[in-house]
This record gives sequence, C-alpha cells and structure tokens, in this order.
Amino acid sequence: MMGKRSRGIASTLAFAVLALVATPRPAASHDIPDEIRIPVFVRETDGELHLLARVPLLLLLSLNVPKWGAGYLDFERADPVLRRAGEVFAAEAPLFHPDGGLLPPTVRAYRVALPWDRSFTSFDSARETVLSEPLAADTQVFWNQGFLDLYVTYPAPTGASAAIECTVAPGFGDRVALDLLYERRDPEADEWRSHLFHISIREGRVVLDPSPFQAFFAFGRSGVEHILTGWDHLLFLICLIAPFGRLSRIRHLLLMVTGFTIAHSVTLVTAALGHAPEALWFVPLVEGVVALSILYTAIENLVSASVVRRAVLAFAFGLFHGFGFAFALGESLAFAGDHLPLALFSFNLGVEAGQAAVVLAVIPLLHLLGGTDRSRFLVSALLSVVGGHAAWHLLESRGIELSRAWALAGGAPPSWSWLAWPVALAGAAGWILVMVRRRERRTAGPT
Amino acid sequence: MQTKNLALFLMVSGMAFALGCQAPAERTSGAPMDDPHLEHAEMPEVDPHWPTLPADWLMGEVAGIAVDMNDHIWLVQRPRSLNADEAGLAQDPPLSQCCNPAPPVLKFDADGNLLDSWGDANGYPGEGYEWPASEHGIFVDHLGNVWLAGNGPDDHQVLKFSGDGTFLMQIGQAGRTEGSNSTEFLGRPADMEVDPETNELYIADGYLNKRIIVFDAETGEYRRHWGAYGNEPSDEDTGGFVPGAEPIQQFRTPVHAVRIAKDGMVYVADRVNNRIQVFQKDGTYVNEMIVEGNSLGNGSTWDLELSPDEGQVDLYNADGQNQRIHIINRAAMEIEGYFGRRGRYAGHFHWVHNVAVDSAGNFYTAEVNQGRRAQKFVVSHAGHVH
Repeated sequence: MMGKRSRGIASTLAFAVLALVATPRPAASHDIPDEIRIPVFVRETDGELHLLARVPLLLLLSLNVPKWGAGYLDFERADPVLRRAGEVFAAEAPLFHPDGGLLPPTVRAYRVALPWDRSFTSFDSARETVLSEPLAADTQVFWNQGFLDLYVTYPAPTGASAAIECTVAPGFGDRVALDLLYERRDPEADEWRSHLFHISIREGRVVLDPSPFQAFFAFGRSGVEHILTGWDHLLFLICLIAPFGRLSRIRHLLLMVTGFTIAHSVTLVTAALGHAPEALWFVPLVEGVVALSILYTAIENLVSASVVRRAVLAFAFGLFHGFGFAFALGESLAFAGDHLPLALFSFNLGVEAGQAAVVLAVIPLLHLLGGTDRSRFLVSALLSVVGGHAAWHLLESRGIELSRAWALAGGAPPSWSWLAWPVALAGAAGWILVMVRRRERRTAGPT
Repeated sequence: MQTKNLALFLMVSGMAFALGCQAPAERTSGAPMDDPHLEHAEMPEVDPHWPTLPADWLMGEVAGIAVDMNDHIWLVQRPRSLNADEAGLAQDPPLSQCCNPAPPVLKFDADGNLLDSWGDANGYPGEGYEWPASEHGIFVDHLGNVWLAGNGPDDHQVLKFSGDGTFLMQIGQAGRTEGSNSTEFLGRPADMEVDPETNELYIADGYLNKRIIVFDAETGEYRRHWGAYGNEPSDEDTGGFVPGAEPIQQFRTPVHAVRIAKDGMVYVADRVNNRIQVFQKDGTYVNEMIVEGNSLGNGSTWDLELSPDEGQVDLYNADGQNQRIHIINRAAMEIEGYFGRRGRYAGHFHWVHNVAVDSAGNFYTAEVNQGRRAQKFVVSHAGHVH
C-alpha cells in the first residue's frame, strides 16, 4: 500500500510539474464564422399570426434578381421575383400547425429597404416600414446590398401553439439564424406576453408558445445533453468520485452527487430567474472557478480525499457549476414559453439523469480496475493528473478571459501568469520539506 | 514498495503530460503601460492575434482602413509594395514557401476572420476603371458601397465598387489633372467619405491638389469645392512648413483625410500643417486646431475618425509622425490623451496611417512604409475613450 508520505511527495511533485509545464498560452480564438441574423417579429392577434421579417438581399442569390447597369436592382422588373422571394422565405422558415401540418402563408406585403435603414426594431415600426411607399424606381441599390422586408400572415391554430423551423439558405448551415420576437395577448392577465428566440437550423422545430408537457420534455432532454456534452462538468464529476470507485461505497457517492445536485440546482434557478450578477467578469469568473474545481479535486485526490470533505466540496463547487448550467441555458430559456419554473425543474432533472448515467457507468469500471488499494490509487491518480492538466489549461484560458472582462468593466487587467511560479515554488518547497523530514527521521533512527 | 509506487506514479503522470501538453507559445507584449496620457485602465489593449490571413498571404503597406455598418473591417493594402523576398512564393521559380501578395481589398470580422477579398494584386485595370498604382484610402458608405483612391504619381481617380468588388463608377482620370479648381479632374486624391444624409461624396484632394471637393455619390456630378479656411484653393507654391510661422491660408499637400460628423461638421486633416480644420458642409470655415504643432517631416494629422457614441464626443487623429492616436474632445477641440508609441512590437506604430473604430469603440489602425500591418485595440467600456 502506498503510504501517506509517498502520496504527499507524489502529489507535490505532480503539482510542481503541472505548474511548470503549463505556462500560459494565448487564448485560442478566430474560429467564429460570420453570422447572418434575420430579425423576425411574430404577433398572434385576431385569429392570425402576423410575421414580419427583414431578409438580406444577399440570401436571394439563387433567385437571379433582375438588374441594370453594373448590378443595381431593377425595381420595375424585380417585382415578381421579390414576391417569389417572399414565398421562398415562407417555405424556408415555415410555421407548423400543432398536428404537424404546414400553416398556409399569405404574403401581404414586401418592400426593399436600404442597408442603413434601422426601422426594424419592433413589430409596429417594422410593419409600418413594410407597408410604407416603396423606394423610388430609380434608387440605386446594388442587388446584394440591402434587405427585403416581408409581411406574411397565417391562420392561428386554436388550442395549441404553432411551431417554426429555420432552414433559410440551408447551405449556410447554422450561420443563418432568426432572431424572433413572439408576442401574444394573454386574455386572462390582460397583458402582452413576449419571448425572444434565436433559431438556426440546429434548433429544429421550435414551439412558439409551448404547453407544459412540451416545455418539460424539451428541457429534460436539454439537461441530459448538456451534462453529457459539457466535459468540464463531467471531468469534475469523474474527479469527484475517482478515489471512491468501489461498489461498497455507493452510499458515499450518492451523498457527494446529491450535494453537488442540490447546490447547482439552487444557483441554476437563481441565475435563470435573473438574480445573477450581470457584470462582464461574472461569466469568466464562474467558468474559471469551474476549472479550479476540477484542478483542486484532482490535487486532493493525490493527497487525501475524505468522504465528508468531498461532500462539502461537491456542494461548494456545485454552486458555481449551477451558474455554468444557467449560462448554457442562456437564450434557450425562451423555448420554455410561460413555463419557466417547470422548464428549470425539468432541466435539472435531465442533468441528474445524465449524472446518474455517468456515475453508474464509471463506478463499475473503477471497481473492476481498482482491485487493490494500490491499483485503485493509481487509477484515481491517472484520472486526476489527466483531469488536472486539462483543468489547468482551462483555468489559464478562462483566466485570460476574466482579465479581459475585468479590463472591459473598467478595472486594471490582472495578470494571471504570475500564478504559475508561486504554485511551482510551493510544490517544490513541499517536496523539499517532505524530503528533509524523511531524512531527519532516518537520522534520528528508532527510539 | 513506496519508492516503486512513486516511480510508477511519476512514470504515468509523466506520460500523461507528454501526451497532453503542447509547447507553450510565447506571449506577445501588449500596448505600452507607461504612457503618461492615458491611465492604465483607459489604455486600449492591443489584440496581437488580429487579423488572421491565409497561411501563404502577406500584406504590404496598409494604406486605408474602414469599419462598415455591420462592424466589418475593410483594409486596402499595397501588394506591389512587397519585395521579391517577401513575395517569394509569387516569383518564378518560387524563392520560398511563402508568400503570395494578398489581394488589395480585404474584409474581416471583429475577430479577425477574413470574410472577403478582391482586387488585382498586380494592379491591372478592370473594365471601365483604372486601378491606382498606389492604393490609398478606403471608405464603405451607408449603402454598402466601397470607395477607393490612390496617391501614385498618375493616380487622379476615385473608384466606387459594390461590397463584392463589382465596379460601379470612377471619378477623375488616371494621368490627367487640371489643378485645384477643376470641377472634373482630381489631383492624387487621398481619402473620401459619403454623407448619408445627402448621398454626397467628399474627397480630400489630395497629394497634388489642395482642396475638399464634393460630388453626387450616385451620378458623380460635381457639387462644390473649397480650400483652407473656406478660401478658393490655389496651387501656388507655399514653401515648406516652419513651426511657429504665421499659418498659411491654403492647405499644404497632402490634404489627407476628411470626416463628416452627424451634427454636420466636416473635419479635414491638413497633414503637413499639423492642423485639423472644421467646416460646415457648404465649405464655410468654423475653426481649427493644431496637433503637435512642432512636428516636421510628414506632419501630425494623418487620418480622422469620430467616436461611436451618439453625440460623437471625441475625434481621433492618427499621427504617423509621432506614432500615436490622439483622442480629441470635439467640443473643446483639445487633446484629452493618446495611446501608442514608435516601435515594432504589438501595440507600437511605424507610420500609423489610418484609424477606424467599430460600434463598441474598439480601434483599428493601419500602417504604411515599413509598418505594413493592421492592428486592433480593444477598449475599456468604462474607460476614458468614448
């Protein structure tokens, strides 16, 4: 069996190596493609759905708009093509009846707008613009600069909500998205309700005003997907349970995972309800602490990991992970419609289900690999070193983001690179201390 | 046993590091932090990774930069300013693995991703237009059209293109110039801007002429022109600039930049005279300010830009003689601060030729001569810079 002292030496050395090897690197960036966002307003009133959209003319490439001169829009000949463009848009951003059938669109109006026009800021101003006089026929608008404003209506389904999909210009993938504001009058509360959606081809069919069941199902699935694809949360979970990989300790594991769950549920709900700080630095701070939670847990695994301390740790770090979950939910909370509490509950449930699946998959594996104390420690150490190393790099890049956010918020940008050397020195000092004590004991001999 | 465990552990952890760790890249230093004029927290921070070019492309002198209404950043650069060694891949036979000259017009997003590029790197004329021998100045108007000028010895033309590089119009003619009072021909124009309210094109004309001239941006029809203090421009030799001497009543060449504020003021960079003159849109003189008035050489007022706030509180001046960007309070016409210094590292300048800002207030700069690069400076929201 590996003694406590050896573990101490091993961990301090690992810590020192970790700190020395992982010197700061610049944050990776420049992988964000250009996006085309189409502002859309949908208002349900008088038994109809009124849709207003501002489509960049660039997306009408395939329609071969009539031109004159070097490529200016020929307004006199463009009319049928522009009407056709409205129909194409309605087909590529279709509205669906709750039974899955297409709602029939009626193109009420269309109008070309100049690139600098900023009137598409609300349903009313957008409708006023679309219905206003068209541009003079001799206006020079280069055929792919400017917008086509559309006004389309649909019969509103009764009893359940319509849904929408975005497959506009599918060749662009999720770089084309609808920024859709849905508004409907709530007769019981006698007030307008609105939800803002960001919908690309990735989101699939989105229900504009979901039923409780639809919200529950969609967010439950989102919770499972999030934990299974959120590798920083997974890494923390694995580091958390790594030293306790025995079926006989399943009760302790449940204690930790429950502590983590309760904590992240509290902050997830708090943040989702709009009570989290809005400062620019808050997101990178939380994400930095999430990375720190992995690093700390990994280091503790190498030193000593007690069940009680681990449960407290899981709870404390769980608070920060909850904010992280809330950031991930972000704009998608609009998909909950009027059922925000239910959606949050369901999302949490999904996260728990995902966690449970991970724990149930990992524990038997750890149990099989960790036949003896020694092999259990080695497996745990290997997982922790790999996890800790990844977390260090994560911490580093999030530290840079935090510095930048801090600077943008008006503070002096703190430098995080200085952390590497104190950590390395602390590791080295710890190692020397252990060695000196060992030597002293050896010199003193048995008493 | 303990030693064995320790060795085993170190071996495993060593392998894990060897597999997972990449060689650390060296960090580039940021903007100078000891500058007396802007406090530390106010200092725009250079983004040393901006922009990204394809691996085998290289830019020459960057002689124009503009931000369009979508916060995309446009550069015009001079591919023919690269020497054979720099453009090694374009030689026959190739001298090296890199580089080919980048096309003259490049469009980036705020993260530095290249979105579009056009123009002929060899400067061959296209159908209906004469590409300038020395690209100079770029502007993207409210309709998304791109305007270019040139300051080569025979570059007396301004070109209008659509955003995708389709030629739309040429004003002036290469090789033909008829002085500062011609209503048809230009004289090595340096810069231009379109007034979105009237769709009129204002040209800083230029390296040969000594005036601002205005055309209809749609038809190219002449509207009006004026010289320093609103005077009729004259091409008489004004001699060299002497610090402290009585200000001359004409612009000196080059008349290097023109900007129009939302409140109707027109700002003109009279570069070698180290001054910025302010006019109404009809050419009526309003006032002027002197910037670093003792600067000799190429002068201190190279390019102008307005802050993105609604009131456009600040005016920015690129000073390629003293290698800094001035922040000028527009109401008081007083310098509030500056950033930048001469140097070769990220955040430093050599012949900073142009400045532009996006809607978030981030700065973009362009450098000519041996500078040959564009840089981005991220600005603090709470900082001094508007």
